[in-house]
Amino acid sequence: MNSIILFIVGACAGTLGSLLGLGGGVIIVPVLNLFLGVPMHTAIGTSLIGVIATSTGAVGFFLKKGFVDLRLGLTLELTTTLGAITGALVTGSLSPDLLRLIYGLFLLYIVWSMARRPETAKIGPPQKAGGPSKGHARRGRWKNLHFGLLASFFAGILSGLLGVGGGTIKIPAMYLIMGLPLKVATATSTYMIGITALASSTVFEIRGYIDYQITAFVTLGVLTGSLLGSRLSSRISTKTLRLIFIIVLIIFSAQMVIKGAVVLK
Amino acid sequence: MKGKKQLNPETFAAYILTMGVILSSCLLILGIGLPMLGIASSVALLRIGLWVLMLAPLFGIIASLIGFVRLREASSAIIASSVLLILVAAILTGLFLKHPGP
Repeated sequence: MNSIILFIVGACAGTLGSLLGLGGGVIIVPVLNLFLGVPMHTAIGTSLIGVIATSTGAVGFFLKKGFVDLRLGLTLELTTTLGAITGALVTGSLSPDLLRLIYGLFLLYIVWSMARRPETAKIGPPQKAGGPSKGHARRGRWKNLHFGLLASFFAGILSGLLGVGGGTIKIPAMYLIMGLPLKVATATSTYMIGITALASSTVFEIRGYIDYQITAFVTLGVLTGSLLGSRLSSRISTKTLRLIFIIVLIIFSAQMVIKGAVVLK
Repeated sequence: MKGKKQLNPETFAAYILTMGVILSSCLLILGIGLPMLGIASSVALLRIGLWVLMLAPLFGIIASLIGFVRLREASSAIIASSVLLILVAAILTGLFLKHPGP
């Protein structure tokens, strides 16, 4: 397989992921499976490593700036990790067609959630009002922890099952229900997705679903892309980018559902 | 006070995670680059590089745990330890439930 194409796929996923606050898995899995013919389980395994790369590459900056609510992130990880293990164990017994169908429906959910989200949070200087005090996440300033733990569990299942970060569930849960500022929710989610993906990727690695050549090129691309994305975030209109991204996701989800619908016959 | 500030959970975790990214990137670049020069087999290097990246969040949590212990935040330290235990269990579960995929 052409290594340059794999690198470009990773770079696009990393750039878009860091610009739009996603793990990048929603790009990696469909492109690898639909266009490059990589088996579904291998594509998911590769995507999980890509999610770790996105998280690890970006979260150092967020942690130093104090945007991550470390204590809340670790608390929510208690259930997210359990969900991720459950998802990773379940995915091994599902057929690729069923996985494609579930993935297609999940992409449609992302399209819906992105279309109604007011604006993706950019991680920059701290907000003067409504943001964390002195640029730091406020300790213990959250509510509805039980709901957050439940939402995190489902986000973990999705991560293990589909090879995504699960930020599309965690960010709305932390922002809308737990009352965290959007920037803190996004940064905390970025921190969490790396740990969640670690839990499920070990299961994938040990089961032999990780192709080292493919994953290495994609991962290096993701690392480069996430660096590029953080530099571009102040120059590119997120609104336009989000519109393009939504159209691309609709195409991906339609193809995934059509290919996966074979399982319903 | 200065020592405690340097070792606060956030900055210590950030340092470890950044080191993990740099180390794994170097290993992956070596793993890809060396075979092009006809020097060595790359699979082992790629595997080590990917495992370094995969385990970076785990070491990030250990770094946070050390930070919490230094700051004597018992509840946060217990939560970090619990997440660590679950992650180790996940790795062991993967090992013990190993079977070929579909």
